[in-house]
Amino acid sequence: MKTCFRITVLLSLVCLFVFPCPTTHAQSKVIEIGAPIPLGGVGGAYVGIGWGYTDCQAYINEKGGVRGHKIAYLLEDNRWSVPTEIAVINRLLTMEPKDQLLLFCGNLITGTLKAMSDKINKEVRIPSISLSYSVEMFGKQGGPAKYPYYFSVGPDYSQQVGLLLRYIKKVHKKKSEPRLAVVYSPTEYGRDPLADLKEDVKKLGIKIVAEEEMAITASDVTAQVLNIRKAKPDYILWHGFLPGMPVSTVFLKTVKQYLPKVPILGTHYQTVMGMITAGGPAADGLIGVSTSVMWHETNNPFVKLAHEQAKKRGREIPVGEESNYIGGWMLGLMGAHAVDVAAASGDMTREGVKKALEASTWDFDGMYEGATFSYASHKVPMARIFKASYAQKRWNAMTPWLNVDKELK
Amino acid sequence: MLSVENLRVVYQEVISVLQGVSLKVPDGEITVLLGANGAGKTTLLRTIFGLLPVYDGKIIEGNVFLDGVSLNRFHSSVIVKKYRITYILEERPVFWYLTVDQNLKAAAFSRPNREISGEIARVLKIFPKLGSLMNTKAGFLSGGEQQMLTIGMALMTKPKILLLDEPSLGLAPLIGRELFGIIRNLNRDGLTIFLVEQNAHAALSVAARGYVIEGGRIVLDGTAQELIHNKDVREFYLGVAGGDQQRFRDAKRYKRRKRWL
Amino acid sequence: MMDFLQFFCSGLLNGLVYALLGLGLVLIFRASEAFNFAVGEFLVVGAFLFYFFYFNWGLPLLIALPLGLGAAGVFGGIVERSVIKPLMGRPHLSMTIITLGLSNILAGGLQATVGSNPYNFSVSLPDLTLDLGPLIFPSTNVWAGILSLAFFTMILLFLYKTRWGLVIQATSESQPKALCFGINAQSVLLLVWAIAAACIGASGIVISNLGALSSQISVVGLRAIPVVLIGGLDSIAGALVGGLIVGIAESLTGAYLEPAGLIGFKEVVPYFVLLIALFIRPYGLLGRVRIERV
Ligand SMILES: Nc1ncnc2c1ncn2[C@@H]1O[C@H](COP(=O)(O)OP(=O)(O)OP(=O)(O)O)[C@@H](O)[C@H]1O
Ligand SMILES: [Mg+2]
Repeated sequence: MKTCFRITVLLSLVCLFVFPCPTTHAQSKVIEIGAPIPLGGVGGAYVGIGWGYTDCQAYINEKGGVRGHKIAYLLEDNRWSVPTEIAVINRLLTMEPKDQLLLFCGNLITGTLKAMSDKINKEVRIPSISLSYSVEMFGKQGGPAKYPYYFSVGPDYSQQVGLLLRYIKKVHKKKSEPRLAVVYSPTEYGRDPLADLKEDVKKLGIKIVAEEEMAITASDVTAQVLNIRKAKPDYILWHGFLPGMPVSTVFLKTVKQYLPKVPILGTHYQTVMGMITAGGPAADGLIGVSTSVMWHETNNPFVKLAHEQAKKRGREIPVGEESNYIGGWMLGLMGAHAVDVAAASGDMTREGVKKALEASTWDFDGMYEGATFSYASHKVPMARIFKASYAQKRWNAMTPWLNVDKELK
Repeated sequence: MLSVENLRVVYQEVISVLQGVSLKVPDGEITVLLGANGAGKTTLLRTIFGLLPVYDGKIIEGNVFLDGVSLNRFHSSVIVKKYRITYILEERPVFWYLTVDQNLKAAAFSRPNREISGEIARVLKIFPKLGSLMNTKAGFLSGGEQQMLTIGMALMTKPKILLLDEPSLGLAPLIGRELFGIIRNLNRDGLTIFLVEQNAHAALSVAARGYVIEGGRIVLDGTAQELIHNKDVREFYLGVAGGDQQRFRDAKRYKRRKRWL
Repeated sequence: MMDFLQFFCSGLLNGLVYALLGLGLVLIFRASEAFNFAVGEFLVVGAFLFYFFYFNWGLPLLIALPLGLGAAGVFGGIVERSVIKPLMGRPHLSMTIITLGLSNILAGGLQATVGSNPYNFSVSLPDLTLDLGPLIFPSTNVWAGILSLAFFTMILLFLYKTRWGLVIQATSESQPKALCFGINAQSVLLLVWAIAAACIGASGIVISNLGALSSQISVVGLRAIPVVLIGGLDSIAGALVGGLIVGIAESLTGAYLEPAGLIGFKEVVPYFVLLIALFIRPYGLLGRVRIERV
């Protein structure tokens, strides 16, 4: 009995030291931004995003925060898995105070957006900026009318594909209409733009000659590539893959060997540095749409800022993580900016942040090089087309910033 | 001379099997160990041969000596290679999925490469029948052939001392007799043999000395002649009792009782 | 017809890689009677060891390859000593189960050390592209087939033509019997695990060369399960046959069944074949005919 008592006392003392009582801070409250990001799992680890957030947080807080409030990005690993991400979001929603956790700003996989749509848009009503470009969420069928609290940072996949199709039309030299092979992953993400794509090609006069699905864990895609080869395409469009998926490099290498002359065009996540580092020479000549800026574009004020900050914090960005680092910065600044606007209008609540985002014309400290656009559609309508150079280890811009609202009329 | 002194062995730290066994196997002789099932005969051989750890067994007291050197700590590979003792398992240790030829070669693992063909020729001289079976898988040999192969394999290691565990098990009487003839011949050629047997009659007829083990203790020892004439041995191992014929079943029941008490 | 030939032969080339992978498992199963569920991690570790010598240190292929495989062998040996040997004499199932745990631990270790991002893995080999007009076999696939076959043959020669090979066969059948003749069964097991790890590592290198190297390619290791079960867990020829069957089945499924709407069936088809094979022969197609006697 005595020992029991002693142990209890000891344990309580230990607890006191390990978990100090929450002290009430006299200073202004910290603004929290929930940020689920993939740090492992089948999609690969994108630690660069995390570094981006961390540096962005330090940068903002060193400047004194947002109107006197410190900012905290609550980084969580979602393992690129819908159930994990849902769990993370639910946990943050229940644990963090309503007046502190003002928005989510992170990976937010399409599947999560779909599963959480009622909770986020109707119950909790918290603005959520996602790295998804899902047509279902942000395209014609979705959009602000249906999902008023969902935001995206670029054109949806259908629009991205639309830009690529128009690019094909522009560069196609042969008399006959362009023959296109379409490759996608059998996931929601992969199938997302298919329906719109099929309508679009009809309008543009492009012929789909092959349509292949590739499992994201496949270690061999010879059969698919041989099928494509049989169809004799002029171009291959691939969508629904991440550089961390084993199949991505297998696909690039296989195509390079069976169809060395056919250009491959991809959407945003196929147009990141990781694709060049993983694919090596096989990634050379890859074409893709990106909604982001590239690390080597130091003339861009936004990129310059990221470079300066990385240098200041002694951060070496390894090859392959640059796109992720920039992505972290972009999301971080975007969230902080929205909070800033909301605070300015005296409405520092979730609702205020939503209004601030919708009214935003802000261009990420010059990232879009002065181009103006409206964020009323809940997606930034800007993107560019790039081409990969293995020798230079970078993506070179082939077009200026394109505004899909104008281009895809 | 191989000798065992006051050996106590346990399995799994608790199952006491040998409780102070002492015996001697003089060079150049055949020594026989008799005992009922479960008396600890196989355990004794395992202990001598350094196999106890494989069966989660341990020597807790006593020693196995070869010419004054304790063998307690040695691994079986050392015992074979350096001390030239080879042990033939109760279940005939032929490799079923290898041919006779491969079996002989595998058994000669501890010998240098150049000696192997000579050794095989020597074994085939002793067991001419194996010659015609060289390319047969050992699993398809008859019991007698397997027993010959086993002894042949043991000879491939060039042993000085051979530990034999119930070699006559499962053999037809005729083949059994042939086997004991072979054992005697090997002994005449200078091989020391420690023979564990249930077939006491045949074993004692070839042996010089014998021991009887019961419940992990040596209960009797003496020359083969003494044992053959011992009343208890006659009754329980040779199955003959004095003048009046006792039935086998009674003898067995007695034996069982003795074991459990 | 040409089509069929193309898919069939592509499957054959892949099948040779699977066969090599299966061989590693069969060697371990024969010696330790354990199914090595950590095969996927063995594959990744082996490939990374090679990556280290070849890409990081920039050693020439002919030096980096033996070094990498040797290191993979050492890794296999360490696993045997630290995880398998302490279980000697216990039921064989316990070894199989511990490989499941080992798989998780190694996966965590890999995640912590090399992360889950892919590493570019393009070994520069002479171009062996077979371009036969309607038939085409790219260089990396041809090399994958050739290298796998070469490793496979080397291990076969070692097993069936050398003394140590004979001793491995003997010990694999029965450790107590081997001990009787002074064979050091522990060393033999160590050797077997080392060879098997090198074998799995070699297939890891070949597989990485088809795509990229990342800890995620460990899932390919699981492809070895139907391979060895189809061929027979204890049969070396079975690994070859099982590997080829799985390779060809996958290729033909990808060519003819998936476009017909059975997307993803390729991943399942090996198990389908397995089911049929087990109906015909419960020990696998070439599983050892047990010599039963009483
Ligand atoms: N590995 C083991 N673990 C635990 N107990 C064991 C082990 N091996 C044997 N025993 C026990 O030790 C005792 C002696 O066994 P041993 O095999 O030495 O007998 P034996 O005299 O050779 O009998 P038999 O004539 O049947 O071969 C038996 O009771 C047996 O159950
Ligand atoms: Mg016995």
